[in-house]
Amino acid sequence: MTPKEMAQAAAKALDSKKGVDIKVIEVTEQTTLADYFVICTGSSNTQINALCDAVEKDLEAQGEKALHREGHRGGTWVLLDYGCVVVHVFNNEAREFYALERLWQDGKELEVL
Amino acid sequence: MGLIVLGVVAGLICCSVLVFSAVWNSLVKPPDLPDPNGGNSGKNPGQSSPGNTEPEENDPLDALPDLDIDEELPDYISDQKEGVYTFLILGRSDEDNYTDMIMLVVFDTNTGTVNAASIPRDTMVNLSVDIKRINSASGGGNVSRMKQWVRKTIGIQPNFYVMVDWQAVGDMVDAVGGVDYNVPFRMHYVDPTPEVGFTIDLQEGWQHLNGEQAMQVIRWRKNNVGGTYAPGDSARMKLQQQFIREMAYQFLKPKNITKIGAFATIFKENVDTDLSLGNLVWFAQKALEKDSINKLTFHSLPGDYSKMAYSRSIKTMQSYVTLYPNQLLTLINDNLNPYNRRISLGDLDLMSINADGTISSSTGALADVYHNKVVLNLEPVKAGLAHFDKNWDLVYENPEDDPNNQILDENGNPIEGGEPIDGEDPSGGDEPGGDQPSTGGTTDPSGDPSQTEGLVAPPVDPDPEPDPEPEPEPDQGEYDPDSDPNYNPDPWATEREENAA
Repeated sequence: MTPKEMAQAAAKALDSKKGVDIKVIEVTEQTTLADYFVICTGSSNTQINALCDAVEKDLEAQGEKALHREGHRGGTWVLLDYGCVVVHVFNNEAREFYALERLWQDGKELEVL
Repeated sequence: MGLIVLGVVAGLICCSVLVFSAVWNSLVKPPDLPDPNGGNSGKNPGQSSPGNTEPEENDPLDALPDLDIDEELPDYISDQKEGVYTFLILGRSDEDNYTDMIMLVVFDTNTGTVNAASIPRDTMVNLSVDIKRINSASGGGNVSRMKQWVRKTIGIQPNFYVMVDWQAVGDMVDAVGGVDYNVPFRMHYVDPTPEVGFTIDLQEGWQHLNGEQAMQVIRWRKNNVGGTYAPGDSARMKLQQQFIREMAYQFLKPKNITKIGAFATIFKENVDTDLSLGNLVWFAQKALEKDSINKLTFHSLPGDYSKMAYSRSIKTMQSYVTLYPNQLLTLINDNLNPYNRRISLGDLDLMSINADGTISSSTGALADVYHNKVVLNLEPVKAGLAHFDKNWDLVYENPEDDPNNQILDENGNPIEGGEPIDGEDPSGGDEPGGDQPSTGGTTDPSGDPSQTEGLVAPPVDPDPEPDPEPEPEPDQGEYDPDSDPNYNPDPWATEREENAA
């Protein structure tokens, strides 16, 4: 899978579990450390975990395994790191607090399929 | 701000009810200090002071053990000077619940002196998680945890706390009919996320601010309209301090005595504190009696307010504040220290960010076992030669690129058949270094020269900051003083001598 396909597959998986405000940001021109950030909001810790599980499952079915799955702030922010693609699932508060979209505002936002 | 405003209001309440003094006399009394090792210490956040439960009880962070400090409070905390009280004032914004302002106030009721120090919200603290800001350490406003990190940062465990919503400040300003304030410069900021709907739009100069405008002053961080102006956290704290002082003066006006009812209502709704009303009134009386409004000094903590450190989660640099230990200790001991014993570096856990991007703690024990190895190994990842594995160890896409596989001779030429090493592994415990002598998991640079010559990074020093603290953890072994131009083998020598004297 290309990084772009992975990012889109992740976005699709998030959408299938009713993730809110899903964004795919291309940062290839801003950094070499990642190509895409996929950002999504979940309403509760349970949903955040379910969203991440869905991404992990869908991508694993296509042969991609996450390098890291990390929970921050007691599960209000969970990230899946695939190297070139990083999936961040936040609750509302944490998403505003870390404001990744703003941090990577020079990146190009992709249409979510 | 909360304290002063609270104090003022409580004072006004007190004046107005002098007729009921018999009743009040039974309530208004100097507070009993909470047992520092007891419920108020925050060791068991769920059991801390009664006023502490409202915003935190559902805090999911309570389940996260590595944000807690699992240790007894040091003895000196319980030896506090008679009549000196410490307060933690937290300002938070309604919509995101994250602490926006952290201020420690020390009130000497013997002399009436009030010293207040703002702790930058970006102050780096020794957390095991990737993001290490003090306000993120305390989670969605968890006061007990914040008290602990304040102690780790400036050595003072606050006796009481007051948490103020910015909305309360706005309502309060409205209740007194606005506040006169000299806006120091044009403030214009429109939040880029339209849903937040947060806008700051104030002209420069003296003006009468309503509550909404007053909140804009306090919350201002930078301009993003009509050019960017972002002087940073330190300028913002000065602004807040200036505004608090101005407000304190204006709240003390006798004409505000009729607004007590409105104040009380606002406090009830917005301020969360572990001070009882009786204690508040007592503090307010003391403040009025001793003319504290003219003995109020604000301090900024000395430090570098524009440090950056890499975040492995966000994959970019994050801004932090790191404090200057010696200047900080002077400030603390000259102005803030409420204890009978001097506060020394050994009481604190101060972080520093080194020239190579690694971080270290003044205790010698870094809680985050990953940060430094990620930072030191970032270049090959950036160059696309390698990636990090599950344990944040470097994995080269092509083993030939791995410098650890190329043992060089003294002329820098590869030697065939060299043995790969894992000298950069900071966790130490996982693979205690194969054939190396056991040095508590740290690498001994003198142990085997042939192993160290092939490293990209110079050899690690097992104990870069000799410290009286016992048993440094192995993870600090990766900090390399040889590559740090600011490295000072014993920067605390003077401090120790002073303490010994």
